Amino acid sequence: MEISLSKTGVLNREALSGEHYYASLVEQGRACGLISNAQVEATQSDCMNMLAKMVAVYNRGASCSVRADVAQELLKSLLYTAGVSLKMFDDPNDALAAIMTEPFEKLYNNGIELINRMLCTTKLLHARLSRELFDTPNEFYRSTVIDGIIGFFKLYRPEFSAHEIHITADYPTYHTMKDIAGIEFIKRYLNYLYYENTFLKRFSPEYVHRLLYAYDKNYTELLFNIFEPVLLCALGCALLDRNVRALSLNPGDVARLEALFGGAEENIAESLLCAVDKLGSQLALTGALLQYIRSGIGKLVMEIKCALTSGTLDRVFLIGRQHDQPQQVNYSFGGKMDDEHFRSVISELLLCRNSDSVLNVVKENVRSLADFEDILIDAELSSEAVVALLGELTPAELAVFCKKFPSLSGDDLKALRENEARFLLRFNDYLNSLPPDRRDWIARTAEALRITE
Amino acid sequence: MSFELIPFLGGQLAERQTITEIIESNDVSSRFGLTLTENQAAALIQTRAESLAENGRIEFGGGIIKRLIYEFCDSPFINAGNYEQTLHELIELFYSYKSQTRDMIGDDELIAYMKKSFDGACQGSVELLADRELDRLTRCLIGDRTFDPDEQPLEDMEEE
Repeated sequence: MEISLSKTGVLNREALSGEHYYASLVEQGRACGLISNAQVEATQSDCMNMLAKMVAVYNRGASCSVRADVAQELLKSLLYTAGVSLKMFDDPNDALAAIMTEPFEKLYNNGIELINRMLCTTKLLHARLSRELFDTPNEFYRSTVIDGIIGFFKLYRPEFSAHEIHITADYPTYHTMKDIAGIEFIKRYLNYLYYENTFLKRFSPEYVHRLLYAYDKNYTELLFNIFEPVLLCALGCALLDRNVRALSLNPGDVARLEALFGGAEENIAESLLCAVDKLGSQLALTGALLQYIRSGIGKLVMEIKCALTSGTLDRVFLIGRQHDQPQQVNYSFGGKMDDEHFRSVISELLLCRNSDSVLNVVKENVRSLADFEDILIDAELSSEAVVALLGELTPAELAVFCKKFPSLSGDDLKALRENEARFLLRFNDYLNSLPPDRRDWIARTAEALRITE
Repeated sequence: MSFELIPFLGGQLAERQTITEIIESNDVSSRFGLTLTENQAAALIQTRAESLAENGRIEFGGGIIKRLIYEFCDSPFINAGNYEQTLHELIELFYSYKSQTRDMIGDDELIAYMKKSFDGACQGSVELLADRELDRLTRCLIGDRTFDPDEQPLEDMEEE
């Protein structure tokens, strides 16, 4: 095979696809006249022979045909794997030369070896990240970093679907993930998460919570990057020579930052880079982590510039909601009576002819909210009796029930047991019958409660 | 970038090679008075290509035509007059049921089942093979019945 490449080739690395590296190398090589059509056909033929072998393995030798969509995915996997081995060449011209001189099978086998090595190191990184995960109530952070990635490791099969990531990797990182696939995607994603997690670990979870609560009081259920607001606040603190670890800015601080930036892009960038250096020394950040932060400064500059224009800098440099946040109160439903006693109380309740006698039985026997709840749900009481029992509860106790049985509708309601759904409807009717100010108080109190078993 | 499957696999070189393989199988089938010309072989390859496309499949290597010839050439229900036509129909049936059974049965197993049914319960009827025996096989494989390749076709069992 003729090699028409010199070391001073004209392949443009920037124009090559990270996700489809092999195909983009060939495509660009052909466009630059570095690889002839005949050579392209020869590499294709080589690749198809390898695909035939892979299909035989996939079918365990039992079939020589396969669904077209399966074959297409296997081909993607093959090209991706060969691409991984070609990325090892610093110069893409050398990579193109390898396509023309090396058998496709060799490139593929090298790629599989590299992928398996990457898989090992990525698993180690994931294990370390899982052990050291920053404590945040944001649901998506933990579910993606722990459960999502575990899902990937379970599903990933480099031999047939090396290019797949299988999971949605919903949680967004500070740097956007693009033009990358397979294990390379997961490795880079975990690297990013590791940097961000390392940074977050420099702060108290409580301070971060206050800050993110200011971002949105429902931040625990929101899908957003939690690293960025913390980084911005820390940068703001560093710029004003405040205690960085406290993550505490006030409206006056934000006004000072506004004056400091002045609006010119270079000013903002310069100030932020200076603040990054301060963060580095105050928080003892590693060089790699500092580089990770610095390489995203351009994005932060644009955000700040937009906020300065729209007068919303306080949405970029958040002011912690320490005082607005209601104090969290733990509440337990208490222990339950033994089953035999419970059955006898239920039997007694079934004999009751009116709400008063129901109340008497309950008052005599029930000593905890847990038993009270079971009776309300399972004792087949009349609506009047349920209203009478709920009337015995203090507003604080009603708030506890409100917390445990939030208002549901549609499919959520259908998912409940019949008795639970019936009770929930009655409970909501009861709450709606209360004066509005009391209802509001109960709702506010419920928000601050945490039910413990 | 032209790393597409269909145009590449249907190349002239591959077709020529398959024709040669089919013609070579005349050595075996001629013992039963059955032979194919190059044109007939090319027509079978065309049927194979159409069936693969129709069923959304890709095939590598020589494919199943040669294997169908070897399996069916000793059938008492195939003669020189219906040989080529029967092969066309068997090729179509093979890929159709390969897809319908969701690849749960290997090529050799499926061909062996087709042959056994064709010579047995179907008495050489491709229609019966398609409508009854292969349909039964599909239901066994994707339904709750367990398929046993050695199980007698339905009609055999009824006769007993």
